[in-house]
Amino acid sequence: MDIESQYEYPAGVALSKFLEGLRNGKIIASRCEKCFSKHVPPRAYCLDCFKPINEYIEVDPVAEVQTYTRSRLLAVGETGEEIVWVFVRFVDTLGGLLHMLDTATTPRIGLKVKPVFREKRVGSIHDIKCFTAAD
Amino acid sequence: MTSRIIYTHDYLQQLPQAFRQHLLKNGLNKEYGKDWEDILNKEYSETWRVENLVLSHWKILCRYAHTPGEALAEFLVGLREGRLLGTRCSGCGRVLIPPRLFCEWCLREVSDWVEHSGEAFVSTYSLAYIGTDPGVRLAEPNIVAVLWFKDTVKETPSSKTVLHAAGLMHMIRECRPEDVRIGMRVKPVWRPVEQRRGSILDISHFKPAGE
Amino acid sequence: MTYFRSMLPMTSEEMVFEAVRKCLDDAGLDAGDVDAVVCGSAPDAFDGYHHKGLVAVEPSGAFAKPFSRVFVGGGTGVGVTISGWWHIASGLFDKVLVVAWEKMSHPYPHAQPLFRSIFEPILEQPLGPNLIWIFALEMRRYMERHRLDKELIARVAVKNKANAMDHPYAQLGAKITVDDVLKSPVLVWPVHRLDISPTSDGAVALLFASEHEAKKITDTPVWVDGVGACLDSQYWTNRDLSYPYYVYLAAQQAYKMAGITNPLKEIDVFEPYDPFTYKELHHLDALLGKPGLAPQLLKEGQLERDGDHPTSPSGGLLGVGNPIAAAGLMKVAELYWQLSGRAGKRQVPNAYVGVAQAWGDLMQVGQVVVCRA
Ligand SMILES: [Zn+2]
Ligand SMILES: [Zn+2]
Repeated sequence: MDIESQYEYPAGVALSKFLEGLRNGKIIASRCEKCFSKHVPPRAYCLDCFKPINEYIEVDPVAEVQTYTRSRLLAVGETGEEIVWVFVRFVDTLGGLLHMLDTATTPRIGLKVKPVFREKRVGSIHDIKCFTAAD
Repeated sequence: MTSRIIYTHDYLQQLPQAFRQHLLKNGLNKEYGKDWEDILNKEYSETWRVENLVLSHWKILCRYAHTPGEALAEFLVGLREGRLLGTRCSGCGRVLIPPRLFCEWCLREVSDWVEHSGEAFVSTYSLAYIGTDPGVRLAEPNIVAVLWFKDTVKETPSSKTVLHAAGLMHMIRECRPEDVRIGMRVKPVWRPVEQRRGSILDISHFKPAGE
Repeated sequence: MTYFRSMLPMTSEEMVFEAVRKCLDDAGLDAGDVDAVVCGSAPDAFDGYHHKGLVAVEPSGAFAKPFSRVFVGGGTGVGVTISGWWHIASGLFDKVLVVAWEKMSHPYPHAQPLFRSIFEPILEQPLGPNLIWIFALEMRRYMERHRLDKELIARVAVKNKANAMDHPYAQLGAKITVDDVLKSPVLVWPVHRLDISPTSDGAVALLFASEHEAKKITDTPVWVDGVGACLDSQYWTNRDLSYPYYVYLAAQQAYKMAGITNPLKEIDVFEPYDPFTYKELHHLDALLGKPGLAPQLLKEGQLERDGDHPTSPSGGLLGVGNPIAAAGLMKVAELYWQLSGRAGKRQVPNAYVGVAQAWGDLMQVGQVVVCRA
């Protein structure tokens, strides 16, 4: 028996802001009005103050590699080119993003990286082509 | 306003092959999100305002192979031979169809097999004017029924409200929808031997047994 | 609670936060004051990602606390209430947050194909069923036993949608007539379109507290006086569908705890589960312990909000909406509002004792809670 399910997801209050930012080539953070903590990707409420958040700001597109791995396995179940997957956190923010590192960069925990945006953008996580060394 | 993440052809062209395939395979170029268009014009939250809602689309395909287990396997083999099999609990004496190897009333193992003639009566029925996909309207309704097999109805020892009967859900045909009645006697119509597959569909349907 | 709508532009996480924040604000508490959280939601397939219960951890303030997800099919909304009560009654916790939510707008184009997978795969799936079959079969059997006609049963939709007009978060409050119900398309006879509650998004949160803590939080606490839960056999084709005996047994457990011997006399507000019109009557029969009594009361107008036995004064699932788990908890929330005298335009006079009930799976789950002012 097969069950095929299709889904429509609204990105919601906070992620809609983020994806809209990506489409414009910007990194958007949420900022708590009370404790001033910033989140990328943004969140609709502050985890510490437990209050709704309504403020969004653009942050410097500089992040730091928190951890990384190398993988040849793709979601489609085949093996392909080796990809370096990095988990990066933008400077002075909380949260973090999973993405790819460009092949010319040697991964290292603590490495400063920046997003490389694609030319054509639609508001998807793929609007970032990859991360690359910041300098 | 609402906007959709639509992976257009020229967008996909700039992605590595693997991601392109992954996105296409999950059907992301479909027309979707139309129902959401004016959602932001309605009352939706007392906490936030959403200025631009971004929608995305995803697909999951799950494929299952179900094993029938011992009791149902025996039952399906019986169907292929044109026999309706059940088990009987030696504790409470109930005939169990669909058959099982335990009795949930007595919580004991059940091992006696019995064959039933298939004569039954309608416990309840309905007329389905929509298909398996509820978006499909049927010109003639399907008669869906729960059939209880003759001489298998039993009350619980403790209650007159709870009944047990050996029974199956199946279709009634060779009968006009307006003529179906609760309590009506029916009998199974078997598929020709060469068409039987060891499936519940080896019984093509039930039809009125007449008086 | 959040608005119940066919679509909400928030994520599940955001909906849960909105319901929880409102609940805490109402109680004058903050997330740090809560000792444990119980959450409830339908199967993961509806949201399309695995173990979706975890999305409720952060927005319910459950981070670094005991957190559990309860699932008893459509009965989940009252099931979480019972579990919340266990937490407090065990003496282990003083304040427990109970939250339920559903996002049924995710499946595209509709949640129906997912509902369909409730049927048994070997003997039932090959027949090509859809979910409404089981309701139509149960409704037909119920009508036969008590010689009920569609006209009478349709009055449940008329009543509940009218009641929902006074509910600030309702999705389908409306003035409709019996004729509207009968003239709406037949889907699986005897079920017409207007016999069915809608699919909805929404979240509801309630705070449970021990006796001494409750008195600190509010002057008008509502007490959980009895709980009951009961499941019937999965072999639904072997059962008589005309009476939900398992709901009766669950109600009897709750009444025994609450010291109720004559529910019709001693209970002021009824919130039985009403995903379909006939289900309200079917369940009320079992809550009253008298098969066939509910349709009689409906006929006499006694189930109206100003009748002797107000039933679904909230507007029920037919009127407020049916975000599965959240819908059941909405019924318990209605008891809270009614019994604390805060139900506004929906207020039933002299409401001291109420019962809420939810139901689910293959016509086999009974979950009952009795509350007292
Ligand atoms: Zn904060
Ligand atoms: Zn037995």
